[in-house]
Amino acid sequence: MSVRLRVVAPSLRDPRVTLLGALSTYTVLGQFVLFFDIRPLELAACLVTSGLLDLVMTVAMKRRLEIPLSGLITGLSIGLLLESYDLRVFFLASGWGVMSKYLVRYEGRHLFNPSNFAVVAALVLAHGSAAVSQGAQWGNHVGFALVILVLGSLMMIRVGRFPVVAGWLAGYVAMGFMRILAGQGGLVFTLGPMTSAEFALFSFSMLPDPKTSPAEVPTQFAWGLGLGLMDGIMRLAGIKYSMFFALFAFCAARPWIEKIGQRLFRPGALLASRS
Amino acid sequence: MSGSRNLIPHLLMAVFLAGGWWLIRPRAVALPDTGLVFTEISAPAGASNVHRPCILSERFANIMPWLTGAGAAVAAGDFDGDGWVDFYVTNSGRGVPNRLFRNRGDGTFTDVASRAGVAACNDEGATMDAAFLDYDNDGDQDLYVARWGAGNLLFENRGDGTFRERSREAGADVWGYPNGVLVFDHDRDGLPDILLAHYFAAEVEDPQSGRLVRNDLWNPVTTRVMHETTTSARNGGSNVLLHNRGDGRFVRAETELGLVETGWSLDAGAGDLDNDGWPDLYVANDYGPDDVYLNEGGTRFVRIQDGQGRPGIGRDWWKGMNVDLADVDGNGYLDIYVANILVPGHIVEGNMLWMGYPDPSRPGGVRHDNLGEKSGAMDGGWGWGARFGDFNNDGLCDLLAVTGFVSGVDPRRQYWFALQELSAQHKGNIADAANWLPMEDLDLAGHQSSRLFLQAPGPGSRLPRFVDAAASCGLTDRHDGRGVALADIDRDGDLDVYIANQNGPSCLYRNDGTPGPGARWLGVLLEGDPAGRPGAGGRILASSRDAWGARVTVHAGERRWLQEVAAANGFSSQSQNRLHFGLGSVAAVDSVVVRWPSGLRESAPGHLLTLDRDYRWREGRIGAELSGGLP
Repeated sequence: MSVRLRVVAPSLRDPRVTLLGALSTYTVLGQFVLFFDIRPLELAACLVTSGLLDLVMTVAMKRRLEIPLSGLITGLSIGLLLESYDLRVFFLASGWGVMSKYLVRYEGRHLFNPSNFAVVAALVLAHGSAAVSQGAQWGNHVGFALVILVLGSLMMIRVGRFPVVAGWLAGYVAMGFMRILAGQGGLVFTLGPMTSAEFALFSFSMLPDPKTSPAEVPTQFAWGLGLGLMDGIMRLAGIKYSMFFALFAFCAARPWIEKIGQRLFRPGALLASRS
Repeated sequence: MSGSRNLIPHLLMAVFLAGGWWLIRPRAVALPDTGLVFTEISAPAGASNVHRPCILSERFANIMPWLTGAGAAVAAGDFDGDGWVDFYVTNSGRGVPNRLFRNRGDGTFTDVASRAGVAACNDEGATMDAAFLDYDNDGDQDLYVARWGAGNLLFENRGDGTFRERSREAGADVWGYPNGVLVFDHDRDGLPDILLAHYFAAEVEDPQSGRLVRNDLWNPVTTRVMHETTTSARNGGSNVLLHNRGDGRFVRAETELGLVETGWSLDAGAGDLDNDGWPDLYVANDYGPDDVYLNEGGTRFVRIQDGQGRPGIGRDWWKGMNVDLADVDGNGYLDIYVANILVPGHIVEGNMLWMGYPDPSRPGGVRHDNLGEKSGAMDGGWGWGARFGDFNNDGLCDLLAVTGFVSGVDPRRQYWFALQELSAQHKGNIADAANWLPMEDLDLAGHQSSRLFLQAPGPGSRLPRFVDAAASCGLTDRHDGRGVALADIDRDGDLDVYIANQNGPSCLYRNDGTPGPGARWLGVLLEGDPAGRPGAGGRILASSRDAWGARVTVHAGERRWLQEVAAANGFSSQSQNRLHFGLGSVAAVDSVVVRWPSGLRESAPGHLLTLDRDYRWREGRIGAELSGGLP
């Protein structure tokens, strides 16, 4: 019994191509201009592991041979975000991230954004040998970060996930003011992290993953808003890397949040789907 | 049935996660039986000092523990020339005296700082570091004290147990924020020079006038005085090189020599990295890459950069705290240990051990590979002072690294979240101290223990392997260590340790290891001849009396041990000037060779030397003086 393997060429309309281009540009800029000081070996470890594993799993499970765009996006994100003195952490995190896409699924969709899963797994399971890199800061001008925010938002409109990001930003800013009222620093301390490279990667790469975020517009906004509120509560409690943990939790809860969203925003659709 | 089908992938994922967790679990390392025991004797020996930090303006109250997190330093030197090593130990609090612990030779010390005239250094500014040096080559140890926010102090030794302060007339009263004092002879003229590693900038922009004004942290015009980034900050202080003219005066020479960087320097180390006879420099910078300079014949320093214009000898971790140099693997090239930060779950970077290897394609014909992780010497916590030394005389170079930043009242209440939030922002936000959350009494990598990295004998591998044996050897204090001085205080042939702790009591650890047949040693105290001799091109080269930069190589069979006189390397640290060679089980040495800064090379055949004793070696007088030993 022979099984035919479909060869699939990438389409420029595929939003992953845009995202991969943006991340690649970002990586090159970080390496040569912005002084991210990303170690090439670690980046290569992430890219090769994620890319190869994604390729193999696509062939094995979908009988498709295609450029592993998702795997490369995962690899680049992990390489940019994670820091560790132990090279094995980068291989493992990449492997964990990609495998989660194929093994942790619900109703035909993977639950977690692979990069987010990888970062959270590394932070929790690597015996303290992993952290989110401090070495990824923009240049001296806050304008650079604002440009990224605007361009990223435009990209989100294109991929149909702007409400997720809008909700997240609204939740983040609202909680920022709440934290100020609660005495946790001033405007710079609470809202300043929005100017970070880490924040941009999270907001425009991990968070709006079409496969792991809600499909319906009102639910997208509510999901992003809730995530922002949860992140703010965690920050108020002094929990580091809160947005990654919050997204992990909201991805896990996404199926139920979608159902609640359907009930709240489109009750007719829910009834129809039941009948 | 479908339920179990759904479960299988999830179980498989759980297996992957658990397998990865198991694969990278920290391995328990078996401690070797070192026979090494350290006993803390600072109180009974009368050498205890409780360091008091400086207090800056109230405008910095929110992060005072951070800003004033340095200043506990120790310098070892024989100020009274009696052959016993004394310690100068610093305080930084306003009006709190520094200490000069005179070694009485019976295992006890007496604080003679007031009588000697070197106690009152904190009436203005704050002492940060100090070093003994014989700057006028008159045969006794003078003292240089570096201060924040006040002119540095130069004390000339009168030779009668007292000092005379002559900072201004010597042109040595530099004003700024020095954290490191490095003594070396950059041009081999026989006159010790001083490099000051500066932290804060000496000037800041006044927000009212827009003009550059003195950065007075006690009376600030702005709170925008911090580092602009955690990874590439260059808004720190300019390092200063005080060139010794030989007429009792120093002149600043950093600009003409090419030392113009403005990183946040905490320490600098000197050593002949490229084996061309001239002392090169490694400058450890906080919040940015370190700078490495090759010395071009004493006329200028050339900063090493990679192909992309990045400074340094390789990718470093941007938080350089300490520099010490030694030939760890005996290959004839100096290796460099740079303290950094590794606090699991927070900053996972680690100390760097740059091993030197010949490589004609690199500047100076030498390549340095960071083998900190592979060698086991990486985990130095929140690292500060660190020094190489053979503590058990087994012939293998060990490392002592002290650790800990700010010990809070409750270690569970930490400042890490606040630090992460600021560090991740775009450059600039972190520069304003007003943006920082109050540190109060929170903990930031405090309550850490020192690391005693003992080198374990390798099975033929050239890669050194270190095991942290601090706890089993009795180095158990959990104060916030800063300076560390190695010296044989009781002249029993092993290295004892003085640790200056920040905002806490200092520790004096006496080495009570049992000497044995596998723990032979040799001590060499060099005395240079400042008169000099003509070198290449008729240039007069000379050795300073303290022989700064002289290189001693001990040969025994296939093995060799190489050390340079560079006692003032190391953050807030100065070890004894006498070189201590642990030789393991060798029955005798074949020869000892000295390469003097004057260019003279002298060799003593092994039959002139008896092991397990100290020798004083005067330049050019080997036959007459060598067998005399120390007084």
